[in-house]
Amino acid sequence: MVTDSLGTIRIAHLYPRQMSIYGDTGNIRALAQRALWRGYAVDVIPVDIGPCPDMESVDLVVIGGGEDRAQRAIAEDLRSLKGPALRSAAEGGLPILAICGGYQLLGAFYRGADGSTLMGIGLLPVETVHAGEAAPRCVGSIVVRWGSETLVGFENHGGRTYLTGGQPLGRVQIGFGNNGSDGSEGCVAGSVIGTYLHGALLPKNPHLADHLLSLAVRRRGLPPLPPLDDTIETIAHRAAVQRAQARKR
Amino acid sequence: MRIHRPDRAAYAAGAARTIAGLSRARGGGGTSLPGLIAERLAPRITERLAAQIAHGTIAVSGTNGKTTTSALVSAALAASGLRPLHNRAGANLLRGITSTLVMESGSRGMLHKPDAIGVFECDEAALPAICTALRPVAIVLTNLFRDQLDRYGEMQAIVQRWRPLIAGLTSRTTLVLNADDPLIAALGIDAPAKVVYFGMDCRTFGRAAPAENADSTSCPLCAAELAYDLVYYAHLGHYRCAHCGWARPLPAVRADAVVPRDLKGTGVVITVAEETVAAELRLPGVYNVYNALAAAATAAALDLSPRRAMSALSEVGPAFGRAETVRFAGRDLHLFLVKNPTGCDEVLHLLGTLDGPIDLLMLLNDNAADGHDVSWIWDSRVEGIAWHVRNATFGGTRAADLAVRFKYAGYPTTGAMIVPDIRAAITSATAATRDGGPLYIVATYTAMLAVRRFLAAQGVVKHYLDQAKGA
Repeated sequence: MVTDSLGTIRIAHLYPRQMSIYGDTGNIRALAQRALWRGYAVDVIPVDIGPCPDMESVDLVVIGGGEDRAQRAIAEDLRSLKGPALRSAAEGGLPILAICGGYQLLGAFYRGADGSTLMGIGLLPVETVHAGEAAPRCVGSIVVRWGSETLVGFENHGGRTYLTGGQPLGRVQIGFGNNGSDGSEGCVAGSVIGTYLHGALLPKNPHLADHLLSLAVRRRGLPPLPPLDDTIETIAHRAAVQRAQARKR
Repeated sequence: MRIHRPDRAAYAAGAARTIAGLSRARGGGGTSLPGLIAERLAPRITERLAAQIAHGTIAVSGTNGKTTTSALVSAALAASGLRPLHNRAGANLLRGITSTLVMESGSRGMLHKPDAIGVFECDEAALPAICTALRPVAIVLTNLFRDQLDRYGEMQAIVQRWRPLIAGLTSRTTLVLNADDPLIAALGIDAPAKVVYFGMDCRTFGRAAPAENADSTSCPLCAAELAYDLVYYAHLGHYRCAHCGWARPLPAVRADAVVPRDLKGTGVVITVAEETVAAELRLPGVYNVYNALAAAATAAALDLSPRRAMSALSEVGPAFGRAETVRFAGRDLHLFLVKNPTGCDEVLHLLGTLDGPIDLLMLLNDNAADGHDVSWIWDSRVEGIAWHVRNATFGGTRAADLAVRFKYAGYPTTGAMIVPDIRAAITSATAATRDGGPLYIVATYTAMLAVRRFLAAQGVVKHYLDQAKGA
């Protein structure tokens, strides 16, 4: 542990084995490094099936994507053992990032391809329905307008998500987003963010990473984050936007 | 006008070959055009041609190791006097196999030299359709890893596709299965085919717990978590299920000892039934020991001499872009093809064992054959190699993604290291190596093709299509 650090940022990684479908651990790496570079020490706490750690003492929560089978394996545990603590801490401003399968389970429910329904924990006002095996999946590079900036990533989902309230994370410029029809991508409710963007999401979108870290330090009463040199990330972000534009049908 | 009506298959084959010849003359490298044409003109031509192969065919599939295992199987069979007939790397869809057979046949729709044995590398998703056409005498399955998710979807989907294929087999076919991969091993349970298992039994070589990016460590029978006594590579190892009692089957073909020799190769001691043979493989890395075991097991399934088979395997050097070494601008370039986090980790681990720090050129493309989604680089343990790299250069269409990956792995990345144009990247990376020392090139599939084209244009290596068949 860094002896003269500004303090320790604690990142809870929910279900790291089941819900890490495709590079989503990159989000943990991005948050951890960006905190380290600012002089913080970082603890990454894997949270598996079983008793829930104290979410009040956690600074960030990340849950990644997972196959249908993985979602079924964790849904009950998420609802009964993790949900109440997450809900309570989110009300107090705990930033939570959920990707793809994790995003779906943060909503009201996910109805799978076989018609079975997994109940979510209701942290986001969304419902998700799998469009069925015959329907085309939403796959491809995606560019999203987030405020005055862009988010870039790769989406790959059969589920179609619909907002029943709240705000989307952003508007789709290229790609499908939540459902391929209403132009919305992701969902934001307070400090909770859900999105379909893999990529991994945060490394090429350092502004979003810092947004989450800022929510974390603000909740702890720590000073605002000094800026970092994001030259490399920006080159990659712009290149990814160009690549998505070149591939746009 | 007299209308001559040749046999439909013969006509199709002839037309396909002519067009293929024109395409090659114009510099095209397509390996599946003849197949496309032949299929259109004469459906079921693949079945008809495959049925002519005197010693039958062997299908080789799995996520990693198809190409190397096919080359090793071919070498093992050739040593016992058989003549292997095989497809080129990349031509592993049904169309590519059709092309291979068409190019081997003459104007009457007959194979030139039917006294052969087919050894065909098969894409995982295409395996069932290919086996329907080939009706193979052996199906070799190497492993299943999370590969390009945007092309194949989930691993479970591949297993689901393979189950009807396996259920439809008879004892005429032998399944050659990796006992150390639970997903593959489970396919042998109650299979109507004969089954030969291969695996590693070398206790000094394994690790204690599954690798961080293991794809699947749940029991294929009951979905409970598998317990591992020993792990060799990702989710491959000695496992058992505490819940339903299923455990790794004992392999008839096993590696009792493994001695790595850097990039030069690996010493192995392999036992086939009661016979034990030592050999020096010219291929490095534990993943190649598995490929050699698969080939030894295939030879065993065909009742060929293990000693002769292992001797042949020792002769096989690295194939196209797989730990291959070429000489360019007064330096050794070591080429490594990577397709997914597990394969990438094995390559990076291997590089980490070399005297360092090393000069690295990493090339990441996101064309169709590479997979459009490059998220997988975040599953790869770049952290382990970042400290061991002196000079890094990043190229390919997603060069900047690699730069970000290395930056977050702790490597002091600069913008100057991002050189998307592969020819420029090779040129600058080669020039910058320490004291004219070696350059290690790690590349995804189409990027490796570009490396190959560049080196061929410099006169360094023959265009890969011109290379002699075989390893």
